[in-house]
Amino acid sequence: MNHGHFLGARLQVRYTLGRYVTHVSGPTEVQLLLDIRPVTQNPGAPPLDLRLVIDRSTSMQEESCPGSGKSKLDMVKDAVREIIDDLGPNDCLSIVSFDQALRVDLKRTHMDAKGSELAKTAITSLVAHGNTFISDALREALSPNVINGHATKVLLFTDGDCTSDPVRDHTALVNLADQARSTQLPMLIYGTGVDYNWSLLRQLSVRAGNGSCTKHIMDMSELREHLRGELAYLRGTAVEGLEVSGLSQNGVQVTGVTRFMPDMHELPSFDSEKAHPYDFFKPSFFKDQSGALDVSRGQQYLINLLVEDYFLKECGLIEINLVGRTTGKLTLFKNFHEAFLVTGLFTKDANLASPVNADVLKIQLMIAAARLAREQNYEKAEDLYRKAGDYTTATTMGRLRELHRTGQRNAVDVARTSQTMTGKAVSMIYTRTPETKE
Amino acid sequence: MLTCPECHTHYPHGSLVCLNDGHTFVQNEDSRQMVQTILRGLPVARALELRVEHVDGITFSGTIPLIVIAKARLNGPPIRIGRRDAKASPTVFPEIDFHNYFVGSTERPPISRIHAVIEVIDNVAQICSASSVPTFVRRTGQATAFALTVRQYHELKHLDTIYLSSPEGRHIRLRVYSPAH
Ligand SMILES: [Zn+2]
Repeated sequence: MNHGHFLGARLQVRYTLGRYVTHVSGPTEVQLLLDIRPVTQNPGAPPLDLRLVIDRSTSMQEESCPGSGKSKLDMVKDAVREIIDDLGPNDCLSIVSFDQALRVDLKRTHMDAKGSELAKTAITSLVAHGNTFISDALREALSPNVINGHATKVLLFTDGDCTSDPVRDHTALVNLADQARSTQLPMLIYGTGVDYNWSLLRQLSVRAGNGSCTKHIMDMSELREHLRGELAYLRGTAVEGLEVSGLSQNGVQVTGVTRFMPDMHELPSFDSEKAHPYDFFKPSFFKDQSGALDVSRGQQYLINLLVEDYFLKECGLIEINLVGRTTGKLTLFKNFHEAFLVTGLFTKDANLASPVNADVLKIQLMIAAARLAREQNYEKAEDLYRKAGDYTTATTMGRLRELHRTGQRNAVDVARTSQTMTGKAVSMIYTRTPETKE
Repeated sequence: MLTCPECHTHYPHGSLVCLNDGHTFVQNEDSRQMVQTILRGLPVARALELRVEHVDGITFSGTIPLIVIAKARLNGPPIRIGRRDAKASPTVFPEIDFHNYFVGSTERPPISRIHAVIEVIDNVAQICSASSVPTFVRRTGQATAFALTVRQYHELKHLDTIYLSSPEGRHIRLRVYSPAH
């Protein structure tokens, strides 16, 4: 285990090694847990620029969950009304909706009394009808320039895969995700029902990066809880455009990197098919565009390293670089570039090795559990969550296993829910309760 | 090399969990006890890690993104490291100033107004303790840091760790990078 560091006054970086003293015998794995968070007491609550993209195709008329009596579109409308109530006169909102065609329901408008009246009218007038074609609406939402100092987020609500021209729509969406990446516009994608293309939407949020994520939502309370958290996190944004990279030292290889916020994501290997120019690892290097950092969540990584067996005493493992800029009114020293070397202690004598750090073991177990859940092995996943001490997620896995076994709920729905839950499980460990607006 | 008894996959020594089936390679290790040992033996609270690059001069990375002290400057008067205190010592301006780190803290700052100096003597960069609050230096690979006595000079080597104030308590830590490596 290693200990806390302050890098300047802006970021607190805490790193923990799997073992304080590692026994080396042949090529040896070392785990490094990195926790990066802004330490400012007053992040200055930046104004928000929220861009809503809402699916109003026919299928949105269906019930959000059996017996609720509320359509999926009603569920989204209710949630958006709550967002509007939460926004202040400095915040901006725009609404684009789509069936096979897009419609701008509200141009970017400040949410003063008049603005929120307009927004609510626009929401009320949404009616479910027609086919699904997402990309034109998303392009429209991405097009306005980012306002300096605003915390910007695109929120996409959908239940469907493109029904009018999927090939054109999918290609366009992937390009738009890259555009969102380069303009640093994170996307929060909510999928509901079972007809939408989960892997496409996941791929979009991975490509868009900068804190983008895709969530599978089963009911209103989940959506409401998640959105409320997101708004509070956004208001706590203290760092923008964070890029985290690591340069492994001589005799050290990076064998895996998992990022935890806002969702668990294993960075692809540089030469794998999923390789991405922005987030990847190779033996000598890893890079991740983490995006905005808020005071409630920060950003965390588990980095797996392989060291050569000649490692003795204290050796440098990896140099971590943090590049980004701070938000808020203080414009001086806005950009930062911090670097530090993580070192480890090594021994050839097994008796001198330290026991494994409980936090690192827990995270490693939860990563394994998430993989098992992805393979629909909910029973094993439940075991591992219990072993890791996360009884809430273990119980959820047990419930999903039952739903899966009895066929009470569609297997697709269960699988997506489990992915959303496993991502949440790890990120919750590091999430402090945000201060919500009165 | 470790082999998972459940799926027979090989993992490198030191691995914790089998990613196929969650088999745990770690047994009965009391990590709570370890954490307590560490807390006793090592500084935890409010350590500041900064980086001293000794490439073409000295580079600091801290609250201010980067201060570069040119090589020519190293041959000038000693470079003072300390904490500006406009009230108590209005005429003292340490060139490498950490007072920002202690603004707003009610605790007594762990470092002195002039804590140490860096000076080049016979073409060798050296650190000299300038305060009764100690400066410690630890060579990389060594388990312990030793305290410099006041006005004791000490050659700075690649990857040396300098502790301003005791490494057992609150301190500022600097790491040296030298061009020879
Ligand atoms: Zn196994």
